[in-house]
Amino acid sequence: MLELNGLDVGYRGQRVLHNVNLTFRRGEITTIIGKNGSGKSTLLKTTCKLLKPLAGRVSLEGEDQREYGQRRWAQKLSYLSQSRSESQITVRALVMHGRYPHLGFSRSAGPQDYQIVEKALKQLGIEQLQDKSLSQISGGERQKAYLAMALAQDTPYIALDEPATSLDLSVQREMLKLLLQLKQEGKAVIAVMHDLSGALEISDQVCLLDRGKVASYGPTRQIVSSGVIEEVFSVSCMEIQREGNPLYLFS
Amino acid sequence: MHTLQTFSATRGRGATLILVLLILLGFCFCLSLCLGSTPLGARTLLAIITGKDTSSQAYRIVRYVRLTRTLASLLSGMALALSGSLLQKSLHNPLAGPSIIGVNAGSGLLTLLAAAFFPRMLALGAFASFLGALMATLLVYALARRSGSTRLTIILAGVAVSSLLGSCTDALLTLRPETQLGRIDFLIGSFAHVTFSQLQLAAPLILLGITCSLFLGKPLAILSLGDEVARSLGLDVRRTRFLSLMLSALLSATVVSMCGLVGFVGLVVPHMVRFLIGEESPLYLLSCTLGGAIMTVGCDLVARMLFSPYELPTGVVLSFLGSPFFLLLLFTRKRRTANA
Repeated sequence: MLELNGLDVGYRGQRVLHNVNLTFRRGEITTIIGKNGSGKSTLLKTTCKLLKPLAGRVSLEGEDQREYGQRRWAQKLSYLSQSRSESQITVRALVMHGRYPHLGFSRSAGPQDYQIVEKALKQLGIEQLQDKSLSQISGGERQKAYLAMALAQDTPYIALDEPATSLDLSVQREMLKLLLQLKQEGKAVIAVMHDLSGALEISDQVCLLDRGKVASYGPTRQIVSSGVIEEVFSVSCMEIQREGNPLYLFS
Repeated sequence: MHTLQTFSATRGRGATLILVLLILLGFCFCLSLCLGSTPLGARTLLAIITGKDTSSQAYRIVRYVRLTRTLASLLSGMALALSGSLLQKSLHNPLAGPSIIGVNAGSGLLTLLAAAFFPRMLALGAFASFLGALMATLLVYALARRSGSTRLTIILAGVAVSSLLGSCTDALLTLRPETQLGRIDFLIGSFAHVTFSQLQLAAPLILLGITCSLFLGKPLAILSLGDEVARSLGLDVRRTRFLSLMLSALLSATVVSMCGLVGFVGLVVPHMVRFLIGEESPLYLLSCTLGGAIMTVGCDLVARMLFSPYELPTGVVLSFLGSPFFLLLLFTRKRRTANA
C-alpha cells in the first residue's frame, strides 16, 4: 500500500497542493484528474520521490519514503515521465534500461532480465521496432517504448504521467486495456489523465484536484454521482452502459 | 530469445571494434618508436623491446626520447577522449569539452600567474596548471549546485567562470606582458618537451582516472535519458554528474599540466566512436579511450614526420587531419540515416 498523509507539494517552497491524503492499493487503478495547472504531475512526481514533499509523509508498505534509497525505491515503483530524451539509442536499449534498478554491482543483465524486456516489448507490441533508434520512430511509438521501459522495471506500483498522450484513438484504447491488464496482474496503477472518459472507464478510484487541494477522492461511481466533476470542469456528464460496463460522455 | 541475440550482436560489434583499435594502437605505437629523424628498423626495435640491446645509440633514442614522448601522447589521447565523452554524456551536450567546465581558463590563469610571479620555478607551472583546472571545475560545480546541478546550470556556470578567469588572464597579460611567451607555449601544446619525470607524475593520475571512469559507463547511459527519467530508474543523478565532472577535470587537468592545451581530441573522438558502434554499447567509453590514444599517437607521428627534421605542433595536425575525417563520418552517417 502506498500512502500519502497530509502531503503538501510544490516547487522551491511554493505550495501547489495542500494536505493531500490518498491511498494506492495493489490491484487497483487510481486516476488523478484536474484542470491544467492543478498540480497533477507535481503530485505524481512527489509520490515517485522525484520531488521532496513540502510537508507530510509518503509511505510505501509502512516504511517512510525518506528511508528508501533512490535505487530501492525504483525497485518498488516505476514512473512514466512526460519528458523524452533526444538520445540516439535503440528501442531495445531503452527498454533494457528499465532493468537498471535490479542490476548488481557489475551492472550486467542476466537471462531473466532479457526475458522481462522481451515480455515488455511484446506487451506493447513493439518487438518489430526494437532495433530502430528513438529518433527514427513516431511520437506514439516512442511513448510505447518508454512505457515498455517502465514495465521492464517490473515493480508492484506503476505511476504514469499522461500515458495516452500523443497516441491515436485506437492506440489510446489499447493503452487503457493495458492498464486494466496491469491491474489484473496485481499492480497498483496510478495515472494522471486528461481523457476524462477513459479515466473514469478504467478507474477504481478517482482523485480530482482543484484550486490547490483534493476536491474529491473516492470510488469512480461515487465521484461521478456527486456532480463534482461537472462542477470543476463546467461540463455535463452522462453515463451509458455498454456490454455491462459504464461509459461516460461529456458535453 | 531475439532480444538476447540482438544484445549479443551489439556487444560483438563493440568487441570487434576494441580488437581493431588495439591492433591499430599497437601498430601506431611501434611506428612512433621507429620513425623520427633517426629511423629504426623493426629488428632493432624488437631487440630493444626484448632486452637484447641495452646500450646502443638506438636504445638510448628509444628509451630516453621516443618512449617518453609516445607514452605521453598515448596517455594524453586516452585521457582527453575519455574526458570529452564523460562531459558530453553527463551534460547531454555534444559540444562539451574541458573548456566548458572551466579547465582551460583555470589552468591558463594559474600557469600565467606562476610564470609572472615565479618565473624561475619552471616546475611550478605544471602544478599550477593542474591546480587551476581542478579549482575552476570545483568553482563551476559549486555555483551550479546552488541552482540544482542541472546540465544547464553547469554549462552556464562554466561560461561565467571561464569568462571571469579569462578576463583576469587578460588583465595580467596587460600588466605583465613579458609572460606572454609562456602563454604561447601553453596554448600550442606539444608532446615534444614532456620529460620522463613529468610522465611519472601524470601516468598514475591518468590511469586512476581512466579506471574509475570506465565504471561510469552504465550510469552515464541512464543519465543520457534525462535527469527525471534517470532518477526514476534509481540513479543518484547528482552524484553521477559530480563524479563525471571531477574525473573529467582530473584527466584533462593532468594532460594540460603535462603538455599544454591539446585540443580537438575530446570533442571529436566520442563522436567518431558513436558513429561506429553507437553510444549504447557497453564498450563505448573503452572504445573512446583507445580511439583517443590512436588519434594522438598517429597525429604526433605525422607532426614529427611531415616536415622532418622540423616539427609541427601536434595540435595543428590534430585539427588538420581530424576535421575532414570527422566531416566525412558526419556525411556518411547522414547518408546512412537517409537510406534507412
